[in-house]
Amino acid sequence: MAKKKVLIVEDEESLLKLESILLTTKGYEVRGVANGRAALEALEAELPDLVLLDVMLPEMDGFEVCRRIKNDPKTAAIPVVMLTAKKTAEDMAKGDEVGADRYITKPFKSVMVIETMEQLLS
Amino acid sequence: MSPSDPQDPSQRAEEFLQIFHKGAEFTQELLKENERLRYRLLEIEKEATSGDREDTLAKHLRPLQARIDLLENEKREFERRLRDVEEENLSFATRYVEIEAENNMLANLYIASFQLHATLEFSEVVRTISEIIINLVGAEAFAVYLLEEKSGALSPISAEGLDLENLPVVPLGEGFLGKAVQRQDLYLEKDVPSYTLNLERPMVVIPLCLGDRPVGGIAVYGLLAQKENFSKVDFELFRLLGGHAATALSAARLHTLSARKLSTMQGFIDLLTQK
Amino acid sequence: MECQKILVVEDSPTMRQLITFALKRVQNAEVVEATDGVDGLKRLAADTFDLVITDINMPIMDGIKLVAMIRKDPAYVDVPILVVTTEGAEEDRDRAMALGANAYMTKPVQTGRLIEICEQFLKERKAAAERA
Repeated sequence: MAKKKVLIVEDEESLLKLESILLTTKGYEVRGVANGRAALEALEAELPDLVLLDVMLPEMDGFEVCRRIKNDPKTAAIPVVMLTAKKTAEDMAKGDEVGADRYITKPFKSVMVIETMEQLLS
Repeated sequence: MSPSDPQDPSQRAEEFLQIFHKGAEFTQELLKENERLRYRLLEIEKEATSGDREDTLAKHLRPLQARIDLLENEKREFERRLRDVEEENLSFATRYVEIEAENNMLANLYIASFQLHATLEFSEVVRTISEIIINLVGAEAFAVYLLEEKSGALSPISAEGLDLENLPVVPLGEGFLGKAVQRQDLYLEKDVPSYTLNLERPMVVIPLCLGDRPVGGIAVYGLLAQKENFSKVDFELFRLLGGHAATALSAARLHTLSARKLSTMQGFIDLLTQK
Repeated sequence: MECQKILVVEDSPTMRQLITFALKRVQNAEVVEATDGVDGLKRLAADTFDLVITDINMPIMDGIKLVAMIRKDPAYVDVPILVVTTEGAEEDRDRAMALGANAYMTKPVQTGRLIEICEQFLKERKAAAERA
């Protein structure tokens, strides 16, 4: 079975690298980008099976990126998981507004990501 | 016969005489040597049997022996003192470890109490209780229940690691939680390593009591992975929570009620004075 | 005698109080508190610190991201960082250490051990400064 493709959007470089390695060792094909614009560009090039999106990003914030992904018919079906430092009611409300599928607290546990993937992609 | 003839009898006599002389001389010398040696031997024997030589040796040996004895005593003394010091050291080290653990415990209790009574805001008291259980005890799943006067049941008001909606309302005196709170007895799971999460059967029940009146309870359903068992600190924290958390919650509740009453009355007065 | 500064980044007031209280025993050390990663970075920029103690699970910016951000800052590239967290899994520890943390303690903490580790870091830092 082909590896599941994950797109990670995280602005801190060393952290992005680490997260990519972590998920790669868990058997995913990982692509990492540092901001919202790059994420949207990456989606133009290839559709992943899941997007892991940090809520706090420079320039275009995570919620805006999610909104654009969900509003574009080409990408609307892709599950978007928001990564948030603490699950506040605020964050979850904003996420619901823009169509986020799940919320995982940062730093994410690989087990959480795997479980969420299984739930969303079954 | 000629004089050079070896067979000349006078010559031979001469030779024989010479040999005898030489022999005699030699014997004389041997006798003299013998005499000398015998004399020397007598002298040495005399020396050996006389006390002189012994005395000299003993004279030299005695102080040395005394010194050896003194040093050996000192050494034994030092060894004894070393053992004493080592023992003292060990007891100091043990005591230090005990005191350090006690210090750690007291710091936890002090801060817990400080925080619980630092606020009159109900939500903050509840949050502090959660912080204490997560950070100081090390629990992952727990809930705080308040006793509702009217229904006489324990109602969950806050939960961590569990969904509040999944928690039961427990009548006082029923189930693990209800019974423990009614009896005002702290309940602790004995076999921590094999405990698995069970909403009907918590790991810990801390009855919250104001004096002898139960006002609620804290139920712990699971610990952080790295926490293997309860320690003395935990027992003391549970005891502290049993009293202080109850007081803090009650004070906060009263404060909210009186604040509400105050604002209601104020509102009423404002209404009246608006004309 | 110079005072060394310790930054404590922790969102739980109870835990923050406990750490600050425990650190009173460390000689010549001053403690500054921060409530989350962003607040922590603000404090770091405003002063010079000799040791950072941080939690992981915090709002706005978590501790792991904070560690990454601290190491990116040339002024703090070698400041000792001690992580104090509820997360005990190897994955969490490895992640923190890989990003540059120097030590990792799980909660509930033994304050005696915390003090020991901090004293050690501060001592090394002082020695390194004196050699320079």
